[in-house]
Amino acid sequence: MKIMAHTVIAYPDLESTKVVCEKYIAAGMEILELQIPFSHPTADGSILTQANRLAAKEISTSGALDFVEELKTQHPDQKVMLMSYVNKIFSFGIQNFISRMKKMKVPYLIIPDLPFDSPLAQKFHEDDYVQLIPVLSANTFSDRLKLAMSSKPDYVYLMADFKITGSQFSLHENIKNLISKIKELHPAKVGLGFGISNAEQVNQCLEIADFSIIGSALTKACDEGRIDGILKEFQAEVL
Amino acid sequence: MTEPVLMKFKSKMEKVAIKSTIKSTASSTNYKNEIYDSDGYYGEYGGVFIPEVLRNNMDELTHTFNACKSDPAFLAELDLAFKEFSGRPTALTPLSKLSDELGGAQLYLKREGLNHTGAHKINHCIGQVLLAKRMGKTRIIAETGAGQHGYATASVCARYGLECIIYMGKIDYERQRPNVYWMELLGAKVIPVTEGSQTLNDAVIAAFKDLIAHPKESHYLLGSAVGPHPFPLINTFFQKVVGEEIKSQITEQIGGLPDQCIACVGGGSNAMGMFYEFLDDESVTLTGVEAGGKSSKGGEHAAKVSFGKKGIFEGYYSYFLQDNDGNINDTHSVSAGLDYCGVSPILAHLYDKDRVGFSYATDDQALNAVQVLAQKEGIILALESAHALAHAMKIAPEYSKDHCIVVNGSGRGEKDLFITMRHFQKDKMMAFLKSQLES
Repeated sequence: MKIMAHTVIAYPDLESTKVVCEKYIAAGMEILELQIPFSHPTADGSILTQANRLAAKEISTSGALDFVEELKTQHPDQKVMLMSYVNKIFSFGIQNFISRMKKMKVPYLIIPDLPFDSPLAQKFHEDDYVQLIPVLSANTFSDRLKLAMSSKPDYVYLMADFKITGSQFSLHENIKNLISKIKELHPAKVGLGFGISNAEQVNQCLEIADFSIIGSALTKACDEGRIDGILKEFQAEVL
Repeated sequence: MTEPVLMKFKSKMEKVAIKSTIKSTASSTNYKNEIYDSDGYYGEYGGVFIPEVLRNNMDELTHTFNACKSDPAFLAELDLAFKEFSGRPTALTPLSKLSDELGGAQLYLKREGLNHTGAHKINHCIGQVLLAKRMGKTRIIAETGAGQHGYATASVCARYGLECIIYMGKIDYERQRPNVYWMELLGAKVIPVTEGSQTLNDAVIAAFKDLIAHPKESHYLLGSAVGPHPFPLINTFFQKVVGEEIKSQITEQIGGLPDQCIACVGGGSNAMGMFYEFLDDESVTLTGVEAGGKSSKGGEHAAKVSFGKKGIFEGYYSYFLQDNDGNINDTHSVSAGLDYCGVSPILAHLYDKDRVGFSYATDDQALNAVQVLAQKEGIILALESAHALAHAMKIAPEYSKDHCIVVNGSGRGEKDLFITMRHFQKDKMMAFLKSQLES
């Protein structure tokens, strides 16, 4: 399934995350986006903010990385992206973090509050293995787009509209055009996220993008005990 | 990454080289120019750590500010608004009785509390709203903790005809109800934030999220010398009038510069406002006073330079109160305006350079300073500013009578009615509230 399924590590506890990751892998999710929890996530909606706040008390960055490493050992072919906020990674130590990524064989990292051209991002760009996945939006102008794509990332995370995660889904009118521009610069796989909650919206995204990204809706379904149902719906209806 | 970033580095290095040439031929300190011309970094601090979706807003604001900061028409409009709307200049009051009693240095109080809406906050609110008008924005978003920044923002928005949305942590919303009322009376929409710890941090995050959702028509009127570039610079620029007035007033009153300037530090807007003008006057000691709260235990104070460590949060690199794993700690101060986890990157830089020193005062010391000033000098000071006064009162006896200390009285204390009255006259307050409920 051309979906990147997002989950906050250790929400509500580590055992639950293990169970849900196994479910996502069994359902055939193309990519898992595993978030290292931060006490104050600045770009997440209310569901993921609350999940982060609780999970940050449950697990350390090192513990979260241990979890991902174990998962990758059991499922070496499963594509995984790590996601967190810049202070978590800065506090852990950037070189330490890069070493851990290499060890667990996960090259992809999403840091929404680290601009791809900041001096700190340069430390990731200088490494041959690690890729910072750019998070772009409909108002990203062409000069910034060129700069973002100059690191030749395998993937791009694109906001479907001017929203925060967990909002109502809509597709900005510029998105289709922006995807073509991205592909002209570098043939990255483009994922669309923010506000996607059902198979119909996933299919709408897949008409123009390579995959869709689902976070809050899956976490909410887990909270409400509906996750098996929603995964079945995706398996049956996603094209 | 490839060329463009390297080019950026190169141009930055060239700039640094140019600056250091100027330094070697001019005076030994040149902090004012260094800050004024900043590209967003102050030493290693500052920067723009934001989601890409906000990039255009920050770039647009930077360009507009750079155009306005030397535009005589803009500066004239700003000065006029300072004078006609806010009531500037504010007085510099000698605290003669208090100084005599302490038996040492002579204390002076810069009366920023005499501004419209009761604090220095109005300075950068006026400035930023004028910038927002230049950018053609129709909608102002702001966060507020105690409600003072929100109150000032709501007032300026009403005057300049802009829609005003204020985010406030739900706990603050409930404990600062009178300020919510003033904001609403001024036509602002006040939104309680129910996420996270429901205080100032969560309000800042909610305001940024609003900007993400409405980037075109909105300006986020950030309320301190913190946040991503250009906010620390912009707010310092609009606040520097405080230090400029102090310099001319003290020169008139004592015929020279003060020996010390002392300001409280939450995010650092009133401190930067006071200090900027004196940065290159080496004889003037500059001290920031943080909130020591109840104790130095984590979660019981808000003293980030004294007890925090370096990190990146809410768009900037500076000192933050955080745990060993990079999670942001809860903070505490009796004064809501100082109850914040981070500090201006400009102040962090000036601290590293030994240009600005830091100390802290506890909740009890601040409350005591409020009472002493009220009874000795007839002035009711805000609890925030009382931290600075408490420090001045502590050190004044160590100096001789010809030593001059200026304290920034960044706000007036009427807003603290429910906090100080609970402390000083709890029984009478309860009796009053009960009688109001019954009537």
